[in-house]
Formats: sequence, C-alpha cells, structure tokens
Amino acid sequence: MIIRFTLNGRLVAPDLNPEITLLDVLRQNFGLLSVKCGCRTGNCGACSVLAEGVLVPACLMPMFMIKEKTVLTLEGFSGYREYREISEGFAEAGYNPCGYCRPGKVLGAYDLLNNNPKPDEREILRALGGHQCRCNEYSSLVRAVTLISLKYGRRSV
Amino acid sequence: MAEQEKAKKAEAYPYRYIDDITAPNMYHARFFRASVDRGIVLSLSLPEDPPEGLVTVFPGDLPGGNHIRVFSEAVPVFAANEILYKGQPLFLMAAAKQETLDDFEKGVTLDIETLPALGFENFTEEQITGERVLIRGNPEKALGESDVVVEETYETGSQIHNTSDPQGAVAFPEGEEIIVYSSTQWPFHVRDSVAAALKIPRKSVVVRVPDMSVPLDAKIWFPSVLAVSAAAAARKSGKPVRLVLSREEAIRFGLKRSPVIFRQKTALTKDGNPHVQDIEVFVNAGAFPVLSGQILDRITTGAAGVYACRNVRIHGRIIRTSSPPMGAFAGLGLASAFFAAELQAARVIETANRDPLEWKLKNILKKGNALVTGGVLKAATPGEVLLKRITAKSDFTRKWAAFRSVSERTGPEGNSVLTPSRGIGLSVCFQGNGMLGKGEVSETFSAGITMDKNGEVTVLTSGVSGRRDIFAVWKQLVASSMNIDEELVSVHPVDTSVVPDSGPSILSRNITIITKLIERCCVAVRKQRFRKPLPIEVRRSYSLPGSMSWNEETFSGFPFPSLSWAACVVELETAVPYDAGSPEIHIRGIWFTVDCGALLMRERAKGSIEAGIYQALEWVRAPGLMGFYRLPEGDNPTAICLSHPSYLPLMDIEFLPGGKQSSPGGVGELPFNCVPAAYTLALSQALGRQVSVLPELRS
Repeated sequence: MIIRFTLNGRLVAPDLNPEITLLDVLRQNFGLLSVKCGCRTGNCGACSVLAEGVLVPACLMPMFMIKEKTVLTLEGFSGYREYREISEGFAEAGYNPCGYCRPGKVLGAYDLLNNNPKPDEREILRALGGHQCRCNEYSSLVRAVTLISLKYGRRSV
Repeated sequence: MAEQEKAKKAEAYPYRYIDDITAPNMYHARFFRASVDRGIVLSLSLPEDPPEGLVTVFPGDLPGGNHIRVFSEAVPVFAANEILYKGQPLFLMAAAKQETLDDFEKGVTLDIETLPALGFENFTEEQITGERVLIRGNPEKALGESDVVVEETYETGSQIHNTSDPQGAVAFPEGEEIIVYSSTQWPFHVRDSVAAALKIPRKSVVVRVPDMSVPLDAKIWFPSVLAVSAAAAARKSGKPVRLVLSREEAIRFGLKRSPVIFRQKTALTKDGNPHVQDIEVFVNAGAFPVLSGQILDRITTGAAGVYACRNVRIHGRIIRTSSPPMGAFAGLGLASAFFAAELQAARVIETANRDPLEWKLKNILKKGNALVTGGVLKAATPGEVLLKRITAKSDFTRKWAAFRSVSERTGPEGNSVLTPSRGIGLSVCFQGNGMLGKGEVSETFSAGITMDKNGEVTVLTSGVSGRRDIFAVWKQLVASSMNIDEELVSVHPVDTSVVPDSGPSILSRNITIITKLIERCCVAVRKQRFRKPLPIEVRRSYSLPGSMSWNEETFSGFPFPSLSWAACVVELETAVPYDAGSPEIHIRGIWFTVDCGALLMRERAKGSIEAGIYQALEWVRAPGLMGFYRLPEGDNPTAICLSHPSYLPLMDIEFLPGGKQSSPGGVGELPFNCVPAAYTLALSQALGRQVSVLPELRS
C-alpha cells in the first residue's frame, strides 16, 4: 500500500505494509538513525518523533495512522533555529545525554516549550522524565530546559 | 545528491550504535535457544530443505573450539549436549531476511531429556565451583569470649542491566580478514576470542567499537560470544552478518547482577563495638561462573564493612545454578557486600543501644587500622569527615531520634491511619579503585599518543565509555599538559588494528589507569619535542604501583591502589497503610557526600553519581526493570512511583573540598555501594521492622 506523508519537510510515498511501525520505516526505509529502537512498548522515549507537531513514540505508530500526516525527526529538526537553541542550552548547562536518548530529549524539550514556555522543575520532570536511559541525570536536564526557557522564551514551528 | 543527503543526516545525528550498522546484502542472525532450564540434547534436526543461502553455525563450525576464555574460565558459545539454562543458544542461523529465519525456526525439532534445575537457596555441594576463606585474628576463640552476638541473614537480588543500546555484533568478511563491530567494554578480548574460535591469526581480526550507551558492566565478556557467533556465520556465508539481541532476549536470557546471600554473625565487646565478625557468603553465578572469582574476591574485601574489627572470618562460596549467567553490575560485588555490612552494623548499633553516628565515628576505619585483608591504611581516611559533614547537612541525628521516638510510641505496626511513618538511614562505604584480581595481573593496560607533522595530537586507547565525557576529559588533559589548543587534540575511534590494548573498561579504570597513562605519554612527548622530528609516537603501559603490597595468592595486603569514599543519607516516608503489594514510599531527601581525590570534571562526576543513584534505587525498589517492561499501560501509580523522577527529590551531591588523595579516583560504584543500605535502613525505621532483603519487593 502506498502511504503518502510529509517527512522532514518532503513529501514521500513509500509502498509498504500499513501495519509496519513508523519506527521501522524511518530507520529501514529512510535511514533516519536518530530514531532509536529502545523498548518497542512506547515507554522509553528513544523513538520519539513529532507527528503533526505532537511528540509520539514511533514504535507504537502503525503506518496507516501516518497517512497524509507530517513527521519530523531530529534530522529534520536540526535545520530549525530551535534545534540550535536547545543544543546550545544543553551544552551551556553542562547537560550531555548519550546519543541514544538525546534525540528524544531534544524533541521532548521542544514539545514541552511549545506548550508550556515557562515550565517549572516538576513540569519539566513530568514531561521529560519518561525518557528512560541509563545515562539519566535529571538535575542537569532541569537546569538545561530552564535555561533554554529563560533565554529564548516561546518558539513555534 | 545521495552523498550530500547522507552527510547532512550524519551531521544532524553523528552517533552510530551497534544496531545502526548496516550493509548491502547483509544477513540477519538469530540464536536458536533452549526451551528448558536444564537438560540433555538427545537429538536436534533441521528442516530437510533449508532455504537457499541460509547458514547455520554449530559448535563444530568453530575450529578453535566451542568456547571463549575469560581469565581461567572457558565459557561455551553454544550448548553442545548439555543445556545449562533456559535460553542458552544451541546454534545460530543467518539469512538475508528475518522471515526466512522465522520459517526455518518453525521446522527445527529438538528432543531433550529434562533434568532438575539447579537452585540457589537449596544448593548442593556439587554446585560449589569456588571458595574463598579469609581469617584475621582468632575469630573462633574471640567468639567464645563475647556475651552478645548479633546474627542475621541478608539477601541482595539480581538486577537487569537493560542498557539503552542493545547487545550485538556485526561481522564483515574481508578476504582472509574479518572486521567485527562489537558493542564491548573489552575490544581486545573480542579480537582474541574471535581469532581463537576461528583458529586464525589475531592480526586477521579487526575489532571496531561503535558508540555505546552506559554499559553498566553488561558488556565485559558477553559481547565476545556474540562476536564469535557472528564472525563464524560471516565466514561461512561470505556475507556481512548482523547479530543484535532483542530487548526481550537480553532481559530474559542475558547477563544480570549476581544475587548474593550473607549470613552475618557479629560478637560485641561490652561497650557494643565489633569484636568478631563471622560471615558466610553465597554468590549465585548462574550457569557459568564467569568473573565469579573476581566478584567473590571483591565481596570478601567489603563484607566486613568499613569498621575496624580485629577478629574476622569470611567464608565465601560460588554457586552454579540454572539461571542465565550472572555477574558484574557497575562493579564487581562490593555493592552487595556493603549492603549487608551496613545493615548488620545497624543491627549491632540497635542491640548496643548506641547512637548511629557516634558508633560509626568510633569504629570507622582510620589511619593505622587494617582492612580485612590485613593491609594497613597508611594515610588518613576521610570517613569521619564524610560522616560529620553529611549528618550535619541532613540533620540526621535529630531526625533519627525523632523518628525513633515516634516509631516507639506507635509500636511495630507503626503506621497510624492519619500520619505517614518516616525513617532516615545513614551509610558509608568505599570503592576500591583498580584492584587486580584473579588473572588480571598478566593483563596489559596501554595507551599512547601521536603528534603528527601538523602538530595535531591523537590519543590512542581501547578504553571505551558509555558517553563521550571521558574523551572530553582526555582532550582537555592533553591540551593542557602540552599547552596546545584543544581543537588540535582528538581521540582515535577504537580499532584494534590501530590503538593499543588498554584492557577492559571496568572499575573506573578509564579514570584511574588510562588517564594516568595518557598523562605519562604527554610528559614523554614533551621531552621529545624539538629533539626528535615529527611525527612523535609514544606508548606507555600500566604496572602495579611499587608501593602496593598485595599478595594475590594469600589474599593479603592492600588490594587497591587507591580508595574513593562516600557517605549517604536517605529520608523517606511510607504512605498509610503500608502494603508491600502496593508500595507507596515517598523519598523526602537524598544526601550524598564523596571523597574521590582530585576531580577531573566536577559536573561530569556529579552527573555520573546522580545517574548511579537512580539505578541503585531501582535495584532496591524493583526487581530490576525500571520503566521498560514494568510499566503497564496507563498511569499505574506503583510503576511510576518506582521510576519516574518527578516522584523523587533532586539530590544533594557534594564533593569534599580538597580530597585526601591527589590522584583521581572512580565514583561509578559509590552510589550502588552506599544508597541501598541507607534507603533500606530508612525504610526499616519507618516500618518499625527490619528489612533485610533487597530488592524489598522481590515477590
């Protein structure tokens, strides 16, 4: 089945099984390796992408749900000004997550700040605490997101 | 255009983990696993018409033998005739498509004679694969002199590593050579294991290490099993072969932390100080006692805790069971030892009716005291300073007395229906930096640096890291030492054909050994600069410090080149009423104070401790699965309470100013050695009863 959707700003139309997950399609068909295969149960946040501007676990999204939708991965987001601001904020706060959870956390921070430009500590932890990784150190994450929030205010795509 | 696209993607996301490595015409590989805990394979038959191109690897396909060597132990790659644990690989199959493997697997028939599984608690003499007995003073005589003896049994459970990136290997046949990408903490062990199993020269095997997430010691020797299997399939098929374990495989059949049982007996002096410690230790090694000797050795060094005692007897046993292989988890066993030792100390303090801080200050190891191995502490230890500092910061003494008073008033049933019960726990521990245990003395630890004709410097080491932090430390160190711009320094990706053998990246050795070697290389290059033409290349190797008195044979002396110390206080409250099936425990505060010598990067060390505290709490509170598979659908409060950081306080982590030792020490094990005991003591106080099993919710 041909499924048309917009991926990182480009219209694509792969021919595939509609029940295959967005995670597998992004990694195998499009080589987008920032979308990591963590738990395949929607719990770890490693496969997070933005679908229609909403943060979703790609491992739980069958392709038929993506038809005619827009999908943004870290590779696409890296062209945005907000990507640079979030990356610089992470670096400035000394927050250096591993490459496995970083993409999900960057997109998660973007999603949070889009919806809540001035989150407090608890709101940051509620939004991003679900990104499970063995490298997690939440105090730096809170510091980083707070810094970005103070420095740049609200942004939108 | 395609190349440009590829470069753009790589720039946006520059990491490559083992599951990101692909190639055209690549085969996917999968183990066919045993379905019983223990048994004898009577027959195994494959489908009569296997799909074209599919290859299998059996023990007979490994010309050098169906095993890898880890120090003195031989670990089978595949079960030959006897199945030792459920999920043990019987053979490997590889094909271009996963679907082909699915169909093939359905046609395999296996006839097994099932044998009774080997348990841990009710082990037999035949299951004991190793022992360690250590005696100091005259414990037998001294035991008869004491009127008060405190006896207790403690258990520490397993913990699943659940590393973020998977276990795996990808092998590429290149003529006579084989190139293996392996997610490993010990690249040269992978190289040597592949060469030995395939019976080819070591120089014909090149091992490259992709990016890795925090490995927590899950990737010491196990990656060699995967690499041998993938390499054999690659040579047989002539195709690149990718063997990456699924999350479920890793959790069900992969390595785990060794469960340990301690039977502690402490005889007291008249004023309640320890006079004799008689300790029995039982380590569950799982199906193969790999590294169990090292684990038992380290447990032995910590089983008596950090308190002075003249008469000690420790008898440790390694027990083989029908569980998947058990082993290291962010250290080699000290965490279990300190959990039992600190809980036993608390029982002693309670029996002697003493104040915990006063008792600990009186008995903690000080300059001139001997470790349980007989090695004398020649320098001042930071134990007293740590205890005073952390109890002052957390207001421990006042809270402990107040909570005890409340607990005594409400009785052992403790929790009133109106107010939650509170508890506070204090623990103190050390981390032995770089103990050289069984067989490791002959291992080499080398590192090198080269300065090329442009003045650019490359660090050469096979030391790997869960993040790129340590590379930043090394770059900064080299730039500072050689007085050059940091931009001119790079760390060569791990490739065994280029970098020297730096040994396994465990026990904080990247900090305690490799960093020192790089410093020595810098000094050597500085001396040669302008005396020799560029390029200059130097390599340095590690040897035991001359001052170190350690006798591995007699297990006596001072086993660690240096010690890092930490103290921890945990304060919590239990919800009302407490029910083990629905635990509602709210942690109110975590204080953690460290003396690890010179700090190379304070924020990184702090981050490493914070991550370790979360992992240590997971060990205490859940049977090993944080997040991934424990979390049911929806907002189950139990699961979220166990794992979600918004339910935990931000931690107060502090480093003692001007650590007692000048060289950098490791910090990675300290949270595991300290937090579980502090948490459990706090919980015991809140509940008004002794908790002695870890994790507390093992059922």
